[in-house]
Amino acid sequence: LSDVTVADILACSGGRSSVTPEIGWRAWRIEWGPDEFRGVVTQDDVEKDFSDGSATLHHVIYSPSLVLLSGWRTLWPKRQELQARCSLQRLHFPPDPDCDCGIYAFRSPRSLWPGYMRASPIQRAWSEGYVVQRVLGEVSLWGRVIRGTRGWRAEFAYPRRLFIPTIRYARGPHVPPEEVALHLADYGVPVEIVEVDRNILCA
Amino acid sequence: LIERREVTEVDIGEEESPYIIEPAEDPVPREDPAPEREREVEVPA
Repeated sequence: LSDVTVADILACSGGRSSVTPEIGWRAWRIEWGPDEFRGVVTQDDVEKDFSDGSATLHHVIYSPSLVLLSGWRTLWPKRQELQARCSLQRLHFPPDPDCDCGIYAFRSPRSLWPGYMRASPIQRAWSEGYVVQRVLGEVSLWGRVIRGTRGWRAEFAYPRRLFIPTIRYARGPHVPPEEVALHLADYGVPVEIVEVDRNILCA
Repeated sequence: LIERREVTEVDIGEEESPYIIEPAEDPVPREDPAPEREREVEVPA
């Protein structure tokens, strides 16, 4: 793969290219759980007493490193692009037309809302952690990109704008949206708290 | 990364051939580089 150049890929894609990132919509979650990884990458500054799942809210609030998560265990780094990797370890560049790999985003937030709130926060946490907040936003997509009729999957991505709904989940710990916003400001993009009626989202 | 399942239960629709985007501007707000130390200036006596 190391011998494959951008020119080679362009040749395979009909030579189509652009200098403007695609802008899509997607969702992230912020969660904590019985170990530091399911938590919010707290190992640097927080006492490790997650082994029995008894960590208190204190640890979340005072962690300086709340981060965005997606997929199963995908952490979105701050001030650094996320690069897609194929979890099947196939020898191709993500996104590949014959695979499901790549970083996904939709053209419209309307495509996102139903899946975003369909299940309970805890059920939606793939890593079995506890979702403390759900975040929506715009995301820039670039590198190798595959366009679909409803969205994209891309090689590189970084948040462009973040929206924190004022939804308090009935189960699991609560972190005020203002607190989440402070942490997400480290991404260096606009962060807004939006008033959202949960009944509307679940309709 | 298999993001499809996280974003939604449905896919992104009918897909086209891949293409390349090389942004003219960096989409990532990188950390500001550390300020250069003030250089010592030799002042003639």
